Amino acid sequence: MERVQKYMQSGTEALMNIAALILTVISVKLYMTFEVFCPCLPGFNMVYGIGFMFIPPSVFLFLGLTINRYCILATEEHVRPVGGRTKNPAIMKNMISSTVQRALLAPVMWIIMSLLDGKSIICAFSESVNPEKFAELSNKTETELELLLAKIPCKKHDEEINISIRKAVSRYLRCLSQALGWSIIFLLILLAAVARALKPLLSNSAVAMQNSYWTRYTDFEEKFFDKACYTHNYNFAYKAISRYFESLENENRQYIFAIPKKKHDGKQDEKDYLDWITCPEQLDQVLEAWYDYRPPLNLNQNMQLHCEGERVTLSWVPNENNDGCVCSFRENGTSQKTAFKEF
Amino acid sequence: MDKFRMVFQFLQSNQESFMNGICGIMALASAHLYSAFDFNCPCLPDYNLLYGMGILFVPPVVLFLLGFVMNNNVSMLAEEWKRPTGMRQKDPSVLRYMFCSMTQRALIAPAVWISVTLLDGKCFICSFSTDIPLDKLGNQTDHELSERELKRILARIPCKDIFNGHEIVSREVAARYLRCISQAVGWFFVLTITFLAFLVRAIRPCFTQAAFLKTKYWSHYIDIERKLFEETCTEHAKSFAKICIQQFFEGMNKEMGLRHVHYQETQKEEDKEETEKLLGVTDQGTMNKVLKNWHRCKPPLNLNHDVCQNGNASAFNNHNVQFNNLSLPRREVAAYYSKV
Repeated sequence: MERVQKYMQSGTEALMNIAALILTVISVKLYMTFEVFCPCLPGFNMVYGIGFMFIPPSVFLFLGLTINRYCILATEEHVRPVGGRTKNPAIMKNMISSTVQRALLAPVMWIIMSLLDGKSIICAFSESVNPEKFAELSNKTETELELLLAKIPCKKHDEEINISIRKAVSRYLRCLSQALGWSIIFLLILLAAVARALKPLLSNSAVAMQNSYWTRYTDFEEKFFDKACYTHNYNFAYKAISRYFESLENENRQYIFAIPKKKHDGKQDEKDYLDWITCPEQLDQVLEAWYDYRPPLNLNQNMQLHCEGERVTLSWVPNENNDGCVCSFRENGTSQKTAFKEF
Repeated sequence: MDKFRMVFQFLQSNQESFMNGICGIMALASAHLYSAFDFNCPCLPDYNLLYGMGILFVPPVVLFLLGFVMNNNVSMLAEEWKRPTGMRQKDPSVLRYMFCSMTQRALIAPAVWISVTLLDGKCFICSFSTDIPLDKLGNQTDHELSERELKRILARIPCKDIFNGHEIVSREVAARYLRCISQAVGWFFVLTITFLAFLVRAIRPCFTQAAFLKTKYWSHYIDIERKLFEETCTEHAKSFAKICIQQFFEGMNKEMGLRHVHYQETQKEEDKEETEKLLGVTDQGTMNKVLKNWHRCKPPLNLNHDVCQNGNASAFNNHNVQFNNLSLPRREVAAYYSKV
């Protein structure tokens, strides 16, 4: 249990794996709960059978995509303005591919289970069976044949059709269905093994490591930003309420606002990086700036440049056209120079 | 028990996952309620449709309202909507955001009920047994029965024990037909809902993401501020009660002329702390005024200015009014870069 808890807390990817697993288990349980109620009417069987095999998997696919955090992050990364940070299409591809892989697990499980079980294939294709394969069906008229074949999936119609015909056709279709099911399983496992083994050989491992690093970075950055906003929320509210009580007109104003600050899980109070904000439009500016202008991935914003004994400070800011950064500096006591770096 | 504790801890780690947990529990409760419910079709021509559709639509409405009742933020939304403007203007986009997120969560349990009902099929069989196409499903075409009589017989299809129309149509065939249609409708409903949920969640960042960040922040702020104010008032009430009772006992002590009242130093320190916690509000009238003002005239969201509250909601300061609009027109971006 502790190991499971530790795994769950290890990051977004672990949570997404667990969510995909839970969805797969739900899909297996749902398949076992739902019975295939073949309509046994000419014309309806195929629609029902194919529908039963493909519509629930689509539901699971959309559910899997919806609950996945990387899907939303990929959209946000795609939509955001470039700002101070160029977009890396490899990150978006990484996120989308990992999302889709996890979301496909539950639908594929449903399809494989329905193929191995065979009932939906029997329902869908009982009318399309070649009557020449079965001796008992060779001497029936076309309309009789149509009705007969449509009723094969339903055991309750045994008084109308010969049990042996029903069993023969069912067995034939079930064999085909199971063969298809097992070959799909085999193919998927082979594909997964080949992909896993050949991926390091065919792709650039260094680039792949970089992409995976920056994907995780984007996730952590969003989480940290949200956390900083929420911490500031609390502190802003605290200050606003203390101001409210301070502003009351009464004689006894010698007091301390004595409400204990909320402790986060027994740790120290979180540092409020937005402590300098005193009014709402400053915060709106921060939020807009975060969206419109993502900062560059460079922590050396104030770089020290040592030029022949004279230290100068560089600080890069975006220029008006928003297509690069400019900085101004002096060298050796000369006049101010500007440098330009394109995004 | 360990498992539950772990799940509970995980769910309580933040507000959003707690609300998601509540939604999940309501959805499971709704599915369980359906399985526990005893479905009794009346098997009468005019009542079947009413009963079937009633089972399909009335419990979802009840579950939807229950979803709103169980959501803590409903009273917050109502308060924010109803409060006088005071020194803090209201932002309709924040109210809209809160209402939308509450509605989305409240819709989950009704959707689960409708899906489970349709996928089970009994409701459809009950409602539409009189409308089945007899030309496709019937056993014989030349029955000499009036329409009324036919409807009466077909209405008994959902009830296995009393069905007596085997010559007209086989009960199994009709039930199977209706159940198939019901399942098809059910799966399409589930597919539509899931697809819509996917669109809303995955495609929403494409629209007004900056404005969304702001409304999300400010709606969370309103919630936090309210909770913190309630916490403050609770602490104040505790200290007020403590000091009130202390003063009463001291008064009684003096009145009854008892001597040997021994106050220790620590007691005096505690008293001082408690008095400080009163925040200068020491009588009922002042406290009532504080609470009334909090509702009638919320203070501005500005930590720079010292505003005097005199209990009059019309104490407007033009300077403050400018600063109180939560949603501002977009500014130029060139000047900003993050300090993080």
